Amino acid sequence: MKHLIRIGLRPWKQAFWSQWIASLGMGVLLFGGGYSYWIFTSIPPLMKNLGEQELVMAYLNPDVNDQSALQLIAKMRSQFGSSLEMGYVSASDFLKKMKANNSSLIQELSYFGEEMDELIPRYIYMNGVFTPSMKNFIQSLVEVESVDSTGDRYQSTIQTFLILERFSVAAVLILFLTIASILFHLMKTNANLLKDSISMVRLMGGSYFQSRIPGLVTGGLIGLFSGLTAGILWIYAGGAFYRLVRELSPAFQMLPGPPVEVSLILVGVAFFLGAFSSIILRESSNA
Amino acid sequence: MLTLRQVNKVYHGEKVLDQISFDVKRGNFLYLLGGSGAGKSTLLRMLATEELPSDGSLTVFGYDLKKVPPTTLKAMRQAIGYIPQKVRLIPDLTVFDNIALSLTLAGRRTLSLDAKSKIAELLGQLGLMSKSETLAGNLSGGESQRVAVARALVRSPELIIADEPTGAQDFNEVWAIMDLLVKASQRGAAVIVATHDREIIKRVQNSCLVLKEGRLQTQGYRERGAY
Ligand SMILES: Nc1ncnc2c1ncn2[C@@H]1O[C@H](COP(=O)(O)OP(=O)(O)OP(=O)(O)O)[C@@H](O)[C@H]1O
Ligand SMILES: [Mg+2]
Repeated sequence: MKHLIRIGLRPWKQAFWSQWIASLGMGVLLFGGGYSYWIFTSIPPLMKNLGEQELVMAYLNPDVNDQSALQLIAKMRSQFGSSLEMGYVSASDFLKKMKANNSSLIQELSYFGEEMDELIPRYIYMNGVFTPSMKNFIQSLVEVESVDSTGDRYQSTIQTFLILERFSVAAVLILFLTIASILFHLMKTNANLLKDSISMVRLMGGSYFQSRIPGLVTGGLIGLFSGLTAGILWIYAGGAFYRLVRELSPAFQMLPGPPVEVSLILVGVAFFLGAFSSIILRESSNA
Repeated sequence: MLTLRQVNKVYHGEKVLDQISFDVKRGNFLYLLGGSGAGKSTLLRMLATEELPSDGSLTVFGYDLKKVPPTTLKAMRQAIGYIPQKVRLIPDLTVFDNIALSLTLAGRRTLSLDAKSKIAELLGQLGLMSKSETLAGNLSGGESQRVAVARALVRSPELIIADEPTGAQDFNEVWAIMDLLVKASQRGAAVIVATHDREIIKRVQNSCLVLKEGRLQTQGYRERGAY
């Protein structure tokens, strides 16, 4: 048994750098593929949620003062729960918002003084997923003059996500094919190193399993190294990349983090691929 | 033990062996002669179960090679001692381990005192005692060939197939190897030796098969080199 294992170690002794660099490369690709796949599976629920998101603005009657507007928010909070993001934009808030891009208009508006509240829209904004009955409730409030809602304000983000989703499917396929071809070529090279020894193992009456051991050792080690590379990248690079993505846009805030257990799955998948590829080794020793 | 009937071997449309028929029985010692490219190695590869005939029937230990189930094939191979022309030692293992592996694969226990002393005895007879712990990859051509002889003989095979086992040897080693092969046949093993060496045939007289361009020329006793 230990003799057969030692046969399988030969490629690692004879062509150490080929094994190492190929394993490292496959690990990086596997990480890339896994990460793309993870994004690919995380996006659909995220898009569904984004698509349902609405921004509702309830414009208040002129006779509602700031005080009662805040009470109104409290009332709606207790009605709808905490799922909605809410806030009140008073006349002065509105002006502050406008100031940056439209200072001359502000100048004119400020002449109105006390009457400003009647001229400048004051509204409560609510952000989240609304049912029809929720909207009806808002409309029925006496303090509310009119309701305005925008449902498609994430449209461009959704488009981006759709492209990203297609891209990640393509990326997974391309990366998988690349991994397969690297592994195939590496194992073909290794098969040339080992085929004489394996054919003798078979000709001397070794069992099917015994003749597979050298290949399993060679391929298993390649799988293990690429799996560990992918797993470590998943934990460190994957986490860092995730934090980066989340900072890009508030829409990405809902993207769930990459689960740590996946790094173990990557090790397992890589090990299986490596061990499976060892079939090339035995078959190339024709006996 | 071996029966060949109209065996042909074709490589890429080229007939390398043509209508070969002969029998080998227990205890037979047979030379296989023929010029370079005559097809000796090709024939021996088939006898060692490494390749199948393209045509005709080849029976080893009573089993038709084309129909033998894997487990039987494994058992047959365990009873064969094959010394290929290109010896294919395992370079990462020591000389001792190469020989021990042959025993393991034949289903024998290698760590027994018996096995160890048998390996040591063979190494001594073949002048390899000092090389026991050398990696096979570091041996000379002649040394490798003698290790291959030990590897084949250590399992006390019933059928010995030796493809030019003395090709790279000095005078003394040639006779050490021939001595071991003759003893094996006296013990009851069937032995087939491909060789170029007329001196061997003269001194160790036995039946000869002569191959020429893939055909069997003569069969029977020959005192002198036959080609
Ligand atoms: N795998 C193969 N594919 C194609 N042709 C082959 C193959 N093996 C052998 N041959 C051809 O078969 C012929 C016989 O080869 P073989 O090795 O059996 O000769 P040989 O008698 O052993 O010669 P030598 O004494 O030089 O070892 C040669 O012409 C060789 O080119
Ligand atoms: Mg030959």
